[in-house]
Amino acid sequence: MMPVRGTGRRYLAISLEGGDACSEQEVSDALYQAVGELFGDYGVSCLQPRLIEFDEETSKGIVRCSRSHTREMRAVLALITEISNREAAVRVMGASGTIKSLKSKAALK
Amino acid sequence: MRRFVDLNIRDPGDPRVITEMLELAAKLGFKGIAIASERPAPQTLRDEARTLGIDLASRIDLRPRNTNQLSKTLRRVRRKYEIVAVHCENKAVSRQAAKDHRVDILTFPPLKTGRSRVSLDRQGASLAADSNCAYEVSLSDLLDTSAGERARVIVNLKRNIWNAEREGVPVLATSGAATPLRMRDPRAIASITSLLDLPEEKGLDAVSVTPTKILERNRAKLGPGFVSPGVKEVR
Repeated sequence: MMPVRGTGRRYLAISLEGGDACSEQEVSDALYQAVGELFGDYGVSCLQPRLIEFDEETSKGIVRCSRSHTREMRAVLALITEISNREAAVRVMGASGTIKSLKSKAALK
Repeated sequence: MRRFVDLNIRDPGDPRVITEMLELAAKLGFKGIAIASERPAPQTLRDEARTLGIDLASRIDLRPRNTNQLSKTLRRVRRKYEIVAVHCENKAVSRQAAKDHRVDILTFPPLKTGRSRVSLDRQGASLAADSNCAYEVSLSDLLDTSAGERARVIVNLKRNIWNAEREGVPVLATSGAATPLRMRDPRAIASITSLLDLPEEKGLDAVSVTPTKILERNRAKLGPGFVSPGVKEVR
């Protein structure tokens, strides 16, 4: 049986900056909305964005996306200017192929 | 390793905010920034930036109504600022600015509305290539527009970049930020060019190689002993 190659994924460590703290759900909704606004439903299916984890205290988290669309994902994150009607900026602190190496690289822990 | 430079940080007016923006720029990985202001950056601010590892430059944005005004203003400001950008709001000004060697950067309105129906066309790009003017794409053009308008902005920017690439005009990507929250890291700015059909390497060059070249060229011109490109007075 031929081995099946899985979809390549990329994990981005993000840091949220802005006045008020946001909940994980709010960040997740903002992420989907931003991808949908910029690339549409088809884009969401290509980029496969997902908020893997988000620490509300430190405002840091991990976003997963398709490896072949990492650049587009960075563009989406750069274009986020507000989350739940509050001014915010999403900065990418690092990118990696695994969550483990990302955590050590971006000092998320 | 790339040396990232953001040639368009707008002066927020408040010295504390400028300091905050300088610190953030250093944290985001920039090695140089240019502050667009009506006054050249004072030496104290340059020293403060140097301690943070940032090379600070002065930039002025000109919005001339006609070609005469452009020539007059250029004569007055060229020796005072390291970067001179011209906002082309009509065709005559865009042609004259593209021809003028004293202009470093050309910017165009993101949306063609009202009287500002001007963009970087092929003829303008050809003139700009001859005079070594760069075409600027500012992230703020995309951030300051609503989701509906953004599509039209992207179409305009794509067309301008296509003309610039075709004629060999250097493309420059900047943040255009006036507040710390609008500042983005260099790779985020470069990633925006993925929406504009620019390959990844060229996108990264737009925030590193192109701005560095412009700064170096102009500093050499403003330095002592400069006579004309390639000619320097040696004592």
